[in-house]
Amino acid sequence: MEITEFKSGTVTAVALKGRVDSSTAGTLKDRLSKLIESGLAQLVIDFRDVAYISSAGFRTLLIVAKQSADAHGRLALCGIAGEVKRLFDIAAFTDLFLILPSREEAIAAIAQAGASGKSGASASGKSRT
Amino acid sequence: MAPLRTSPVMHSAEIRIANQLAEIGKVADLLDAFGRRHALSERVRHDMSIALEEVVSNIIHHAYRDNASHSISVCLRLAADELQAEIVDDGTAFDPLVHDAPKPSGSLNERTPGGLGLHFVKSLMDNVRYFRAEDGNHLTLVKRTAGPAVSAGGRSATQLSETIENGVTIIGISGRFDSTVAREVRERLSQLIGSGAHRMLLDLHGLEYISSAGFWSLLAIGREIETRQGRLALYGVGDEVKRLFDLGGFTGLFRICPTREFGLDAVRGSAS
Repeated sequence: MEITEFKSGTVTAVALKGRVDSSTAGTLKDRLSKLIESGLAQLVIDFRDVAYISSAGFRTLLIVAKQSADAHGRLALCGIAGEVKRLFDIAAFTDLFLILPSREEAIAAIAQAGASGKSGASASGKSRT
Repeated sequence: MAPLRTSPVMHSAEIRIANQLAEIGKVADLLDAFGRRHALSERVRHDMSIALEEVVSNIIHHAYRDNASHSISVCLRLAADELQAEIVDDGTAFDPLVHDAPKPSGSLNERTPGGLGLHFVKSLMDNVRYFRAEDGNHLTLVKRTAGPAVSAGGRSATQLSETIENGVTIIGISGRFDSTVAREVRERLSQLIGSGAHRMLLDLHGLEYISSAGFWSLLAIGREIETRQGRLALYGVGDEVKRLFDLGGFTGLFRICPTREFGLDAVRGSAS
């Protein structure tokens, strides 16, 4: 799996390419954790080039989402389609995250949430305690 | 009429791996090659790929208490209308069917990461079978490879799909359910009840037609389940099929639920 970072203003977009599975999920978690720890609080994870994500990948997303929330950051996902979307629905993860169709919309949503002071961690606001 | 039970195995491929996470890629490659060779659909390949990864990684993480190297075997088999994967390991006894993999819910902080893999397996596979033998755990994952076949008469052949969710056996009956298949369907459901399926939910979304023979089979199954203090419910009853239920006076004799969730609640006894 390849992980590429793109900066767009205050938002960091992380584009994934390949499989997110038990052999790659650890690397992804380390990378995203590092970004959050270094203070990059506005994150977009782009799944457009991911055709496969197993429970290991979902566990990583859960850990990263909690880490982001603890750091008062904002997190959005984009490019979720096909079989990946189907698994998100089965795992009932679609309620946990702010999910936009494209990277541009996700970046805009996160940046806007930052400007208005609202949490971007979940569209329904359910993720904050 | 298409056979309801699987035909003799036609093609197979097997691999043995060590209990190391790095080896999981070999199983993925095996499935990939097998899938391409037999032109399996992307859906079937994806779902079996996820299920295999979840099962094998679970074994690697949890099946062994020692630090020794163990062998896990994965055998893929393609029958007429289903792809099977049998995973054999010699670790501690673990029957995933008795383990609860509840449907995930709740806010971010209420979610625990455990159980998601098993939930995927039960949601994506059409059937999961387990037995414990002298050589260890035998888990078979089954994924149907075809939608309803179309017979010469242009009507869909009868197909049964089986899945287990939270202790409820969900049976999908699609195509025609008439006197030509009624006995076989009844026998299969009876078999499942006999091996412990006391909470049964029938998914009738794909049902095109049901005759009185079909209705009588369902009634018999309902009675059989009730003698074992179990419950039977139906959902996915479309307008046409509902009309047949009404015409035959069968509507009041069954628990007909509006959705799968209502159906699951009904057989679990959380609703009247």
